[in-house]
Amino acid sequence: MQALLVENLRKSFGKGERVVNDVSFNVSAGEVFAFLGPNGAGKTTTIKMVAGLLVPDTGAVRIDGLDPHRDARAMTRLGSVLEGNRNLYWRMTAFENLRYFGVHKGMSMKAAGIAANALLERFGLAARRDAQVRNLSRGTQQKLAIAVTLMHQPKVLVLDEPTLGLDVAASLQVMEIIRELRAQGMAIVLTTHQLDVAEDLCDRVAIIREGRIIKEASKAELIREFSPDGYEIELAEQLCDSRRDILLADFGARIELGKVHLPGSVDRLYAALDVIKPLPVHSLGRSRVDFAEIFLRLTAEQKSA
Amino acid sequence: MLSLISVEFRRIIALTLRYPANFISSLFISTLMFYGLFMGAQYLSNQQVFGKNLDAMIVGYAAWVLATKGLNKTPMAIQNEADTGVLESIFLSSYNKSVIFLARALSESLVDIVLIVIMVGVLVWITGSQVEFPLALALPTATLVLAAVGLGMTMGALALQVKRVGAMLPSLQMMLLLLMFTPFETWTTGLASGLASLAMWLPMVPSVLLLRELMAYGHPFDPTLALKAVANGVGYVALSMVIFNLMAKRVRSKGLLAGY
Repeated sequence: MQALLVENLRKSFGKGERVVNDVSFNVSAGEVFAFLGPNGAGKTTTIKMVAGLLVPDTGAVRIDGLDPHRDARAMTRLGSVLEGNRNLYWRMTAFENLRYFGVHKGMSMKAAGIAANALLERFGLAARRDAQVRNLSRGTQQKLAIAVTLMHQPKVLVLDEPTLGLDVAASLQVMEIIRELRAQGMAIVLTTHQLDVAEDLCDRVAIIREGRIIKEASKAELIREFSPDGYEIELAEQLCDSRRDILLADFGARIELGKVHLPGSVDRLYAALDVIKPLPVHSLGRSRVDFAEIFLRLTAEQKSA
Repeated sequence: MLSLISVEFRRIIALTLRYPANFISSLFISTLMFYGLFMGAQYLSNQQVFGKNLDAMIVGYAAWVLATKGLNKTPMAIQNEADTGVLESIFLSSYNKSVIFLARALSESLVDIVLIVIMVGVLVWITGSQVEFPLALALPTATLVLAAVGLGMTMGALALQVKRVGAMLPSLQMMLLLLMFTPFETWTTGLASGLASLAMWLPMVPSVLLLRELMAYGHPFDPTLALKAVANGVGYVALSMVIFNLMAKRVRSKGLLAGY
């Protein structure tokens, strides 16, 4: 059974303006699903419908088989980190927040207290147990917000911009936590504008634009589909003009920032390496596009269409 | 459910102890306000105000302070939490949302009752009043709090939709002032008697009448009036919970939860 099942969600606001139009996807246990889209694409609206904060006009959401809009038990299977500072009481301590929200997910006071202390240890926050949230750094607050969602050991975790506004070290820590949670079998829905974070973490991706999912694929499939045939050769030294001209004219290569982008098959690679020889090669690999480029290409295609 | 009540109670106790200035300033302002009214009444009438009238005034005032605090709780909590954004996190709770805000308001009311007891103690000391504190006070105090919290939850339901209700609350407080100080117990003849019976349906009226009977007039406990007070308090809470849940459903449908 899928941990999260989203079927044909539709939502309109005001005078019939459809913000989400027939959105479906599912997420399995132990999978990170990146839900990406430009601003106003319907990402947050979809996530709120998944989390039970917004009722869809039509369609269904099932969290571990339960409907979050009809069955309160679904909320005990779900953990959500909302974007920004909306997850914690700033005048309560780290421990108080953990216990408070744990009880709100159906735990007893005693169980919530035990789980809170365990999570503080696990996240390296034990020393800040009795510090008020307003006195914690942004990175620590975000770690605590994630810890709060784990209090009741949910099956599905929704993370809305989990690394937004964090410095590099804090971002890396949060990303490591997400990897650990995936390894433990949690189904994770991740929305972010930081495409490098999505690329690093996700197993599957959906891109939404103007309320519709325009692409859904595994990360590997998506990169393979959009990466051109050919190779990327990174040189340790600059090419001389004559070699450069041959590569441009005879091989149709593109050369930028010390990298030769070579289209075509492996035979052409060996031929091109003969031209480059004896210049030292720093790295060599298949041509590959990143998520940012795929994202821009997909969303631009749709726009022009 | 007990865990929810317990965690809400611990939360309010922790915040009250962490920020005692809020409690102290509320106590100071409430006490000073009554003292100002008391001194003004003496100056205008050019005579000492004391006896049963003073006792009734103190009871009415204490009831009003308790009622206004109960009234303000839920709408102001929703307004503040919408501002900080935590409101959505509360709606991720597995508990019924009206139950959460009821548990929270009742927990906070326990702190308010402590404040009112101290305030009445100070007022007795500075005015020479002789109000009594029989144990039976617990019932009308509880029903008064229930009705006030119920009224507050109805305003809270409105706050879910419009978020900003701070400007509406003072006018409601003034209406409550009228209810708390009107001596319905003296309306015993003719049309006034009928109006007094109708007034029993208004929020908190039977509770405040019972409070005055016990504290100011030293009357024995009136079971009929107590029953009316219970029905009034429970009725207003039950009605407000229905309204709150309907509004919560509406804002979740219209996408208004995240606004501020």
